[in-house]
Amino acid sequence: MPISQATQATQATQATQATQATQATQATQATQATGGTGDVGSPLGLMTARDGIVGPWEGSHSPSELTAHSHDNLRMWPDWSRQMAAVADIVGRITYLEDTSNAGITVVLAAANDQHKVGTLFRPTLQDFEAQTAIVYDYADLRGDRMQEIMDQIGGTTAYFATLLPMTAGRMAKTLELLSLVQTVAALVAQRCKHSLACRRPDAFSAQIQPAIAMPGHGALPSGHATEAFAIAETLRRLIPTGVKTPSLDDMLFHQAARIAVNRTVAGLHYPADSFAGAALGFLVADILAGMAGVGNRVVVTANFDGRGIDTSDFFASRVWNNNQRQSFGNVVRFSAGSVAADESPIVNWFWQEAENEW
Amino acid sequence: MVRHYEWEPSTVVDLRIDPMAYWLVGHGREFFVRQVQGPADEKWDFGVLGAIDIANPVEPLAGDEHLLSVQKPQSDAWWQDMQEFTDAVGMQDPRVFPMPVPRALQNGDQLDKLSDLDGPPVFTDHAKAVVGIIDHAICLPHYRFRNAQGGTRILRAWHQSGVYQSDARVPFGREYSAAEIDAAIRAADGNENDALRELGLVGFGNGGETHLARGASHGTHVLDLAAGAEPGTMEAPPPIIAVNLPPIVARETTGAFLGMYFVFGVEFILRRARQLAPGLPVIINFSFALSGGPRGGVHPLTRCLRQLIRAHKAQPEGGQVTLVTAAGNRNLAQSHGWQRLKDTGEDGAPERFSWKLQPGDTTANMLDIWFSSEEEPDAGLEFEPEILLKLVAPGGQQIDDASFAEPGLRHLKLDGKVIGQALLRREGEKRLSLSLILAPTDPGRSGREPAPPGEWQVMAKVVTSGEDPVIMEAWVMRDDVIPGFPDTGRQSYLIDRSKSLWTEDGWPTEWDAPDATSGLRHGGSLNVLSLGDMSICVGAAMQERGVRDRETGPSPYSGGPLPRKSPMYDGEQVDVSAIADRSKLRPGVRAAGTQGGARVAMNGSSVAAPQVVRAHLDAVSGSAPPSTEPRMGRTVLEAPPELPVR
Repeated sequence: MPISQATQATQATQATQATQATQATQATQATQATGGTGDVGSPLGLMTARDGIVGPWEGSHSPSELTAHSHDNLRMWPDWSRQMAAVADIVGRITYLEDTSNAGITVVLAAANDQHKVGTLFRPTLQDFEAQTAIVYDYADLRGDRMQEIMDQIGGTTAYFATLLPMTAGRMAKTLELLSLVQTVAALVAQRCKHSLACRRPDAFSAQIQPAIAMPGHGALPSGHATEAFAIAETLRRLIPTGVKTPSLDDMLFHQAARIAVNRTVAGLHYPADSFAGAALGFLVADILAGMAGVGNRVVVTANFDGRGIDTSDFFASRVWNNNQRQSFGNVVRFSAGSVAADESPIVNWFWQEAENEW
Repeated sequence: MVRHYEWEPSTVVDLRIDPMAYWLVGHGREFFVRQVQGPADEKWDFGVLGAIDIANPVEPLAGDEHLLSVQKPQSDAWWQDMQEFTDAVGMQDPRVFPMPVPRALQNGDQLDKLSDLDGPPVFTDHAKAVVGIIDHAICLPHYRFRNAQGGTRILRAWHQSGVYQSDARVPFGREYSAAEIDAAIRAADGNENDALRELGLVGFGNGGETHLARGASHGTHVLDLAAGAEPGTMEAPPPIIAVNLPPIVARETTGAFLGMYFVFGVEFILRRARQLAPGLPVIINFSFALSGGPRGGVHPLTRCLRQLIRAHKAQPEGGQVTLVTAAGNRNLAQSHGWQRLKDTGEDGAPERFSWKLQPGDTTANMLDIWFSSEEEPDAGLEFEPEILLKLVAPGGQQIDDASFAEPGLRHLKLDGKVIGQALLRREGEKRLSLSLILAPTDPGRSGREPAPPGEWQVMAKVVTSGEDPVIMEAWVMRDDVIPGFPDTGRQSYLIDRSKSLWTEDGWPTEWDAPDATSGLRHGGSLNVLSLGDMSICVGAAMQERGVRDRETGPSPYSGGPLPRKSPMYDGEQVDVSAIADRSKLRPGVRAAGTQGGARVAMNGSSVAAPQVVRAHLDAVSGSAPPSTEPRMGRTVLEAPPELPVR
């Protein structure tokens, strides 16, 4: 069929020439756009290589089916993807009830086909905030001592826990992933509560606070840093096998968390009340996460913060952690043993197991 | 711009007022800014006490001199009343030391005596001595001050700025027993931060103190060097009696408020030692210095201390007392100079000091000038001198003479507002002293008139009937800021263009040329507070002075005594020294930080003195300095093994 072939050849040649013209332009653009390390193929390169080797369609075949819902699959997904899946699972079970008459918010956990109130936060009064502002003023005395820590901790706190443990990215990748999960959940819950409680920052009460770093735009209470730090500390406390722990590790985890929280007061960004609220919320987040990971009996301890009447109470470690356990402090922070067991999530459980295996 | 300066005489006459304290009380007010939450309008302020209500803490000194603590004087009229009072009770030559004591720390208007405890248990462990310490920011619950059982080795502690307790045996502040410190340590599970909160030694807001929340604190470091140890490692760990000075004392670095708190502190230590450790020697470390006032052991405070120590030893329970003091760190401060007034006739030319006031200085500056006869210093000034003080303001404007035919007080006014004070007084028969104070150069938000910054020419002319030359010696009071305090006091200093501040190889000059005839002088920068034979004055030494020269030598800043030929020389000396710096590039020695486990480096003669305290207990050996060096004394201590200097 020479004529047909010839026609095809002409068409092919024309097509090729057209493509080549386009390719020339694209090639130039492609070269300008990327250096081409070999780890990632550019669309154009992959396209032309395919043309070179693909051959005619041979029909498809079926691989083995991936088990739906299996947490074994998590290993295949990129870390951000499985993080998002886990976060969705966790925060999907958390809702909030707003108490408008009392400027309070209740954290509700869905478990066992029911809604359970697992935490409450009540906003301090204006008089309380005024009294607390005087404390913030005094804490500025420590800025000389703490400035480097404050700067380090602006973006996150993991390094300050990593320093207590042999936790480097190479050795403990899954542990760090778990902590990243903890941080994300803590931040989401804290920001939701901050919106509802709508607390002004110390610089609204005095021009003499003059914070050492830029004042964040969102509300003061609860402190996001305190929430994250205490959530991380409690998570690590449960995660790390006892046989591996140095004797004072638990104490140091919580003293570090408290110091991180206090540093924010030193910087002028937070009242001690914010650290109390954050500590309570952090314990709650850690309980929920560990519960959903299937740790122990999965019980979530109810955490209540009431800032009304907190007045001049100052925050420091032993107010919320002493004698190797979390502490209630007056009416400000109250933990009550809950009877709520969180639903186990295979996704969260996977994260926990993978992290645990690293120790 | 020509401005109007004038001297205004004051009606206050012949009261031995500490000049800087009088200035601060009357005109300064730089320190009275803190609000204490309490009854409305309660401020960190003086209370007003009638002199008659104050119990004299000490027995009369030699003759009829008394040391009296008073509080805020209201006006010149008040001082007049004081004069009448002291005359009425027969005080001769009284010294008056204002002493700020906030109301929260007192028992109403009454300042009670320091009294004994009710039959406490006597300390029975075998120890060689009791270590006393008077300092600022001592962390009482620190683990380095505990015994092997975890209890504190501190027998009693007096936190002079603590909240007054109703059952107190101290006149103000708060005393802690060993049991109270132990209870706090237990409640805090050994954690110093929490124990400090329990004890009320750290607080934020509500007038609490924040110094012990820092990573490094002066008193803790010093006490660790003197008597700290890992619990259980010392065979007979010495018991400790501690006094925490109030922050206002540590902050005011001329020492103007130091006097009475210090005296009360020594009395406290000795009294408690007699009761709790009868017969044991007491070694007291005092790492603070006075930069001004009479030298050579004649300062009224040193006379008072002498009296206290004698009274202690006269009691059956009173053992040997050794006071260990720091030489001071003022060798490089350009703080001392001298002039010889060759011609003391009516037409003689005045001699001058160039005194540089820094801009941006929010605290007052003081120059202390002393006049003595050169030829016969012990014979005293054979004249009723007329002193003429001539000032030239920065920029060259002449100020009218302030003439003193007799001791008295003048205020210097600029455009009608007080910016300075000159106080002339006799010190015994031998000397006259003229204290010149100038207001801060930066008034901050106070609205007060600042003194112009720059080089002030201070000229004094002495007119006498005698032929002997008069020696003028001047000292600039210390006015810098110690770490942890927010003030921006800047140190003023003397300028002498005939002397180079730098050696040929670029290091600061530390020593005087042997034949110097006048001007700036390094010698004479020693801590004024010393007791001669009753105290050990300790200098700071540097383990390795240089790259080529690895010899031990004095730390460049460590103070030294006056030369013997100075008419003000009265036997002052550095007795021994200890390592305070490892090298010029590695200052300090490491000892306890505030929190358990922390180690920090601090230098200064402050850290040399406590090593001598330890040496008394441990018989640590020393070596003779490589050459005769008055700033190092007769021995340089080797650092004991538990405190590695490297």
